[in-house]
Amino acid sequence: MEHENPRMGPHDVGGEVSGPIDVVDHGMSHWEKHANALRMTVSGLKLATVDEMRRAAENLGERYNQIGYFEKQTEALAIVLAERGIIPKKMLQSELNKVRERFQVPIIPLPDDHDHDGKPIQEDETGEGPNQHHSMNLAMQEILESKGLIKANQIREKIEKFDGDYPNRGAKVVARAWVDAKFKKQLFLDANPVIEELGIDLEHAARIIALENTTDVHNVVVCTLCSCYPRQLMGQPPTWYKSRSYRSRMVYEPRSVLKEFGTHIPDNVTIRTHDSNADMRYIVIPMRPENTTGWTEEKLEKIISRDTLVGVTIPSI
Amino acid sequence: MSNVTSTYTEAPDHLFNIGDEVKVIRSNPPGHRRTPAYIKGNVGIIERICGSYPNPEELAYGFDGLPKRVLYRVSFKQVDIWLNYTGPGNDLLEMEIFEHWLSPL
Repeated sequence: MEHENPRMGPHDVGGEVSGPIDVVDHGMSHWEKHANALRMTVSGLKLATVDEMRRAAENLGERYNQIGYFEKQTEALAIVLAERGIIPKKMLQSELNKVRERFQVPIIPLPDDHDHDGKPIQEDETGEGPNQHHSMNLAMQEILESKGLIKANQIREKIEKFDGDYPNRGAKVVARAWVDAKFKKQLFLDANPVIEELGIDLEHAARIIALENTTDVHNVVVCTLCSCYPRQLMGQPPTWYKSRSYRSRMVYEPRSVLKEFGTHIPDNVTIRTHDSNADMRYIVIPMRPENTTGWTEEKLEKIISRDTLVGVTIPSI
Repeated sequence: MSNVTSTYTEAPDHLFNIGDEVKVIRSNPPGHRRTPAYIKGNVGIIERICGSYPNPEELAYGFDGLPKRVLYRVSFKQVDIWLNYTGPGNDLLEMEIFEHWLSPL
């Protein structure tokens, strides 16, 4: 869609004409989970701010569009830690060489009577060492550990929270809102305190705004500039949420985008599209489906998927 | 839940109030900004006052972002933003915008 203002940079994609959205979440590989956990730990400890890392990624220029999401995040982290003098470039290079050297292991010859389907035993399951960006993250982690700035178990715990804990929290909030009118009212007034009363530690991350779907209004969330998302409430954003096509199109053709997710919103229902790009984080509270009267919160949680909390689908039974 | 304390931060000196019409400043200074190009020059209505937060434009370069700036949520009609918007006239687009990016109408 046309607008007359110059874009701020390669990240400023809201309104761009773009292709169809791959609505399948492709999840994350181990190295991506590690990269994410390192970034979250470093920003949580205020060794680097999210704003600095965003700026570093935006300034990658053409490279912004040539490398993947976690590759960009890795390079941005390295740039900011170098700027801050925490990990000068030379120090990172030297540690990177050590990491690579560590993975240069010989293939172990097998004794004749020991058969692994004819395959040699190697350090890594793919038979290759860590990729370039994973090596950078490992090197950064090792330097930060040796300086006493982080501990290895902080990274491991962060990965585990993203795998097991964070992704299940949003459904608990919605299920409670469906059964407890007082909670629901308070949730829309000021979400953080009542969410924390459920025993959910939001880790002082950001303010949460809960958006109420009604028979007249449907809410949907996008971040056109990057990938703002309530991670401590909903886990890591799905791959489509970070995609250029979702970020470009959701702000000017929400109804077409929702159709690609199989969601048809009638014209008499107002769509409120929220471009989440600053200090608030958003969770959509969908309408409780009919025929769920008397259901326990536990049973209700099972019909509340992550996609319904972003607003691209609606719960059904 | 009477003991709930709001985590909305204070914004004692806010220039705009809920319901005020505001125009997003059309400006393109270099550096890290959080106001997307497509919304510049558009007129919307203050939906809520989010509080005051460190200025991301300064945080981005390692400064403390102080003094904090007032952050609003502004609601726009989609048909006002996009000339060829194909959905119904009631559809809305909302986003957070810092006070220094808004001018009174």
